[in-house]
Amino acid sequence: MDDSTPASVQNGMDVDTPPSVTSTPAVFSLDSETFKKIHPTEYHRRFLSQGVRPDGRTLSRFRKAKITVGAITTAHGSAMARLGETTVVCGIKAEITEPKTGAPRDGFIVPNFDLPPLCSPQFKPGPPSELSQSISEYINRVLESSKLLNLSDLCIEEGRAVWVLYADIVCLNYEGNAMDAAMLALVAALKHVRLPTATFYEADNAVRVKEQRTIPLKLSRTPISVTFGVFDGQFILADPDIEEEPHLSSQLTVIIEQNGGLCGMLKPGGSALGQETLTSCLEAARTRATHILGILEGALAER
Amino acid sequence: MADRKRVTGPEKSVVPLLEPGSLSAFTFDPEKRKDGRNIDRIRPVFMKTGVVRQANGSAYLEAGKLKVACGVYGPRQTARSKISSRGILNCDFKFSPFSGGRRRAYIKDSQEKEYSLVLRQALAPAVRLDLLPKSTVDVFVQVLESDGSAACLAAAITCAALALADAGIEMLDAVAACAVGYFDSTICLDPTDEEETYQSGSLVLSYMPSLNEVTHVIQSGEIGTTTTIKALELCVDACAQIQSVMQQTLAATIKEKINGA
Repeated sequence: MDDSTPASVQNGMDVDTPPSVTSTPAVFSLDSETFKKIHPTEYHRRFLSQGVRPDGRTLSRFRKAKITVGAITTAHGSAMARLGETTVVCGIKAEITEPKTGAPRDGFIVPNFDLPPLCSPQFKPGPPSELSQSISEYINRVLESSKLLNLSDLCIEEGRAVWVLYADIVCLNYEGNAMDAAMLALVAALKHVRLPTATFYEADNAVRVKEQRTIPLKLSRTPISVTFGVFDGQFILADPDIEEEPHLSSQLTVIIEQNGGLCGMLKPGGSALGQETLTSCLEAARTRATHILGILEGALAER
Repeated sequence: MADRKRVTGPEKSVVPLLEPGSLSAFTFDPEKRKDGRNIDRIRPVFMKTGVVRQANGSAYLEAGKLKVACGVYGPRQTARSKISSRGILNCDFKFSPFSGGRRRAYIKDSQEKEYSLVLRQALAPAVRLDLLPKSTVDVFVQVLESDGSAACLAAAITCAALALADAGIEMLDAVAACAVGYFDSTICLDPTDEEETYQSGSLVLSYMPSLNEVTHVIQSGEIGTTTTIKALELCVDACAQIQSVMQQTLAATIKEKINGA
């Protein structure tokens, strides 16, 4: 569009004026903000066809990840993870409970992801939204199936007392891709957990603990979640943000462990994905996981 | 309570007891508090606005170990066709599950319900709700780490007032709040969780420093009138200090916006 010619000049001349934003009221045109509101999907499509996203990232570029551990002293382990502006906090509290009779040595780990109404106008007070329920469930399944934690390590006295770890993940600022941020905060917090030495006293049927917290958890692996969005079934967007999420035709979450192995994959319906796309996503996820692991190690070493 | 929408753990779990002797005996000494403060001192406080991108206004407050975040949404249309000539101020106070001594459930308990109510009572007189007919302003407070329940409530009120100001909602004055604990006749400003377990009473004052008006007072415990008056004066001074931090924070936000634009 020709914006360089001043409007007054164009109007003054008796020629067929080219369609211009400023000069001809007869030609219907929208500024980008209005266009985005009226045709949000088309707005994104035009950006993506040029190989760039509205926030300036290229298609394969992830947002900056940041991790801090140990901010919350009331928890046995805590971490805050940020992906761009998305901020989640995970606090792990350890309490004592009786084991199940079928598994007298096994402790419990209870992960819950919460999207409070504070973090975005999408979420209302009251019962958890579908999104937070599905993320909680999936995280729980990954923890169970990957045997991240040997539950018998949480045993205090066989058949009598075990630790239960409540891992509560709270989102404070929702800017898209909650899954990756939640997993990252959870893993960082688990690595930060220090349990006190606990002894079971038969006489008063109670567990007593030392004040100092010294025992770390033994994690069998470090799973890192990497999410991709699929737009129009052809564009693969790494780490989709809140503006892109509603227009995606599908999403793909890959859980990669530290040596590049795959310990989980989630593609909740949507448009079909080709074999090739899947392979390239896996490749990109491996590179990203290595990068995230570096950040995680750095954050834990700072402590 | 069965909560089928969340991952539930074992039915019952307890916080373990400490080994006898490992707990350093706590005695309250007005000359020497554990964190080195004098009894007429509040915790050093840090505030920040604009922490939640999607909210109309938001704030984060940190005082010692205490950490509170607040998001304000609105003014937006009141749900259903409730016609009212005044706006509605909706407040929601929530402790994060990991914020205190024992893990809290997600469903609001009576303390959180009470604090939600206090929050509204303390803030509503300051907000120009008469200018917002048919509208609702939602204030959501999330406590990340608590250190003394009275201090936590005070911090929530201050943080919410800051977030309301950040949202550009017209107010008569900023509301600053402050807590004291009574140890017999000794008044101790801004008590921590440990101090709170030994106190004989407490007072939380919400105050508009520029207008010199009180919006809310809540006191518990048996205390003489003179002590109460002394405590109120102490709180008023502390609130003025808190308000100056609020003003600095807001001024810094505006400066940032001007420089950024």
